[in-house]
Amino acid sequence: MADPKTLFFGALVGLVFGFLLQKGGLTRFRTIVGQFLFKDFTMLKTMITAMIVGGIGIYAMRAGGADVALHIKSTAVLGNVVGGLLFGVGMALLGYCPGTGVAALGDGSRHAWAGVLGMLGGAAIYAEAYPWVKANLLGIGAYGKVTLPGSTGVTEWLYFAVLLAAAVIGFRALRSFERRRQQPTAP
Amino acid sequence: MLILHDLTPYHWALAGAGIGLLTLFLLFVLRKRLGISTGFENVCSLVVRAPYFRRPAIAASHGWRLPLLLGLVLGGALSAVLGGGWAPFWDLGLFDTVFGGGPAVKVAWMFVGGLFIGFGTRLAGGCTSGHGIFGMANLEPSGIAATLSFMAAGVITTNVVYRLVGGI
Repeated sequence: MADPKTLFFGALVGLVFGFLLQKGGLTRFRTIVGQFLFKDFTMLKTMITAMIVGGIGIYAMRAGGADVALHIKSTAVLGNVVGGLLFGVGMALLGYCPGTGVAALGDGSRHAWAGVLGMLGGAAIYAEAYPWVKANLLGIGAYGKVTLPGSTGVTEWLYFAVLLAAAVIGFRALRSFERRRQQPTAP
Repeated sequence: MLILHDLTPYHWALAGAGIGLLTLFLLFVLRKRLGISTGFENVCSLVVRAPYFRRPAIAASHGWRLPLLLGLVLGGALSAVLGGGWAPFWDLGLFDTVFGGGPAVKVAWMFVGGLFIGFGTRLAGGCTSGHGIFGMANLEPSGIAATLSFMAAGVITTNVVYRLVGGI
């Protein structure tokens, strides 16, 4: 049994995450499908905001002397790409990703139960296929635990400066795009 | 009933910044990397005996990943309850108008979609949270490759399903 602190903060983070996803409209099928049809950019805007806040925060914490590891995931390009493509197909069918799908269970979405059971089934199928996947796929484009700043030698702050500038310009362009699109139907 | 579900959502910047800060909180307090789909391994390991699910890392992370998933369900429910009322629904928006079909059709459709997600996220090593948020925040090539791939496949599949087949 894990210690109470781990159980408590694990549950608390889940609770707040689920709350924010529901409040952000992301536990709704139409938000994800709307994103993929380029009709509603909530998902992309939320994700990019979370990514920039999280990224600057992680590196700022480390720069400020906090003892936090980056917990880098191994890169295996073929697995990342093929897995990502399959995941994208599933997300388009389901209208949820794992996080939003689980939060949607609480939100009252009945069909999300079938989706989450499917996700567990998909993970179980992967477990059966794992010996073959490991032998044939995961070695291709395997670079180990790398990050862009680590392998290019360019400081992380330059990446974040570029990302932030791109996000600000992109979000502004998006807003005028959305306004133009809404105009014909506006009362 | 649908009125209950049509409250104005939080502004994306608020939800996004909140999720970003939450990621930092988890990293700082529990020293853990945010990720939802890896938690499916923890759930599976409770019932499936495949060697893949018996890796020590899985049992070692039960303590925070299982409460995280439970909290996620409760958080979605709490938000709905506080936001004007919780009501279960089968409504699927565009899917209903384009394809229709009763609960059985939706359950089958959702289950198949889930299979793709479950397999794909394990092969990719993460989902929207682990790759899309934390992996990108960490400036990892794996996060960038996986995120671009799932966004591209999502756009293509959705457009094939609703525009090409569905004819919207």
